[in-house]
Amino acid sequence: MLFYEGPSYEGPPGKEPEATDPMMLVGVELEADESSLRESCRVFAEEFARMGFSEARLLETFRSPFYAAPHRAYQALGEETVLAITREEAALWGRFRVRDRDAGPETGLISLPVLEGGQGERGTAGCPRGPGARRTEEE
Amino acid sequence: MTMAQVYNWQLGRPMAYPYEGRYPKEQFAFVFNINRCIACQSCTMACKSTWTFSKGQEHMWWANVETKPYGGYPQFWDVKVLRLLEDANPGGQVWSDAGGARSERAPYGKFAGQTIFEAAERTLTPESARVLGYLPADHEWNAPNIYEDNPVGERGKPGEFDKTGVELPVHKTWFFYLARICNHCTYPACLAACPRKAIYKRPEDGIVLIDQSECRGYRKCVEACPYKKAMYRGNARVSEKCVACYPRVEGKDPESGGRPMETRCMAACIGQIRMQGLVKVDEEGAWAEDRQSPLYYLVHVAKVALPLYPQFGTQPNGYYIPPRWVPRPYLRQMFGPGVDEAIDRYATPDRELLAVLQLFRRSNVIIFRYEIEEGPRIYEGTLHGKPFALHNDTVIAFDRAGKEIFRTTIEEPLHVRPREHANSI
Repeated sequence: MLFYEGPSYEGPPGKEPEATDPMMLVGVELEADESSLRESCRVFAEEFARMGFSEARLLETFRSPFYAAPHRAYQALGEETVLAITREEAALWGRFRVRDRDAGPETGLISLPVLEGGQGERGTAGCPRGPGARRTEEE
Repeated sequence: MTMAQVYNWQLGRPMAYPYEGRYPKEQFAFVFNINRCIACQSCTMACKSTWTFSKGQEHMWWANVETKPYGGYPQFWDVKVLRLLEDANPGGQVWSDAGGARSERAPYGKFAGQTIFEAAERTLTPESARVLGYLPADHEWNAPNIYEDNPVGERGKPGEFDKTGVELPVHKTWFFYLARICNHCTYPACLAACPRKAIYKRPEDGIVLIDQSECRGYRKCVEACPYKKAMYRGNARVSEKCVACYPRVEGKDPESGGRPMETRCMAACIGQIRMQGLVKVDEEGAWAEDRQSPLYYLVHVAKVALPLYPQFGTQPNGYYIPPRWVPRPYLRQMFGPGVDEAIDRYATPDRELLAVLQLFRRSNVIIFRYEIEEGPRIYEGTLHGKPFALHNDTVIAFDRAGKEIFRTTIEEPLHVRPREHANSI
């Protein structure tokens, strides 16, 4: 059985559509449940976290009506849920290094903190920055 | 006509096909991670500028990216084929034991409906009709992705946009970008339908080609291919299709240095959604076990990559990691019953999956094998509310000869664009 069947006819170019034509992009509505919205919220948060947004900035993005899709998720899921998601995603994916060639080969690199006493790429265990914070040497 | 029986592992059962099963030594295959696709159309243009820039090929987009659920090239190709199958077998296009026991030979359960070959056998006349399909009308080939990211105008005013803009009521929205090329199917519908046997599958790599000297432009392949990836060229009066950039796959491209190399559309992918390879095939056309092949891992071990519309029955060799945010019923229709498991694993990836996902687009040389060197634990926390740890493992890629191509880590640095290239792309 078909879950979704799109319009099956597109009229010849230049001809007026008629009321009975099943025209594309008119009145086609597809189901989207809460799990879909929650997952959308997660991918927004993950993507912006990978781009360097801090937890606070992520939350601001969701609160802002100018970011229509994240804001829609924020309205539907509520602040508490969005806060939990952004916190988790920022902590995990917001940890990255910045390489800025213009700042010089050494100063332009920030390595990750390493747990369990292991060594990072440049052996910078104990780097003081917390998860999700974006900093460069210039800061 | 009476058809032969072949085994289709994606359907978990034997099926009817006009020819006896003949399988290549290796099979051209690819995995697209739709979660990463931004529809930049770099793949589309890479293909266009390589293969289809001549007169008569204006409508040919062997590689394209369409915005789902509304877009498609040709328009509505997939829903039209689904409708034909539904009409031929009303209510019967279902997976019989989608939630049941899985095996290597039936990883998604068993498909109880009819394929385009089986529906043709039961419903079409004359006997020479071998595949259920349709020939798209000319206007359906007009726009590669009509309405993509464009507003439509007022109803009844074609070709005119709203002068002041419109405000839509708050509504739930979702969409995703579906990148497509020829699937170089194990049981190609184009090959099955050709009355002149002009289409063949290469025994060395399973690439499906049209012999231009044999083709007479009957367009039976265009009608039969459910993915609509065979296209008719009016001025040459022959059909043409994706050639899988076979000189590159053969290692004959000057850039390749003799090593099998990925296609142009793969190499151009800036979203790093694509990985292409050559996989080993067993005597029944299924993938032979090759545990350290990244494609084998994604399709058969992690099971995060799924075939596109497996119910069509052609056993396509293109696989997709389904987009996490899309409603599951839609995805199950498009990728079969493996969707839920695939998304669960992709959304909370294990150590090996994270490493293999890092292999995408670090090189244009085909990866035949990978190895992982364990690194330190760099994060401990939660993901989806469950405990999760991240390790900075190193993944190493090898070419056909076993020579290392590259190595990369889970955590990659973010590069700031240098001043001298501030405005370049």
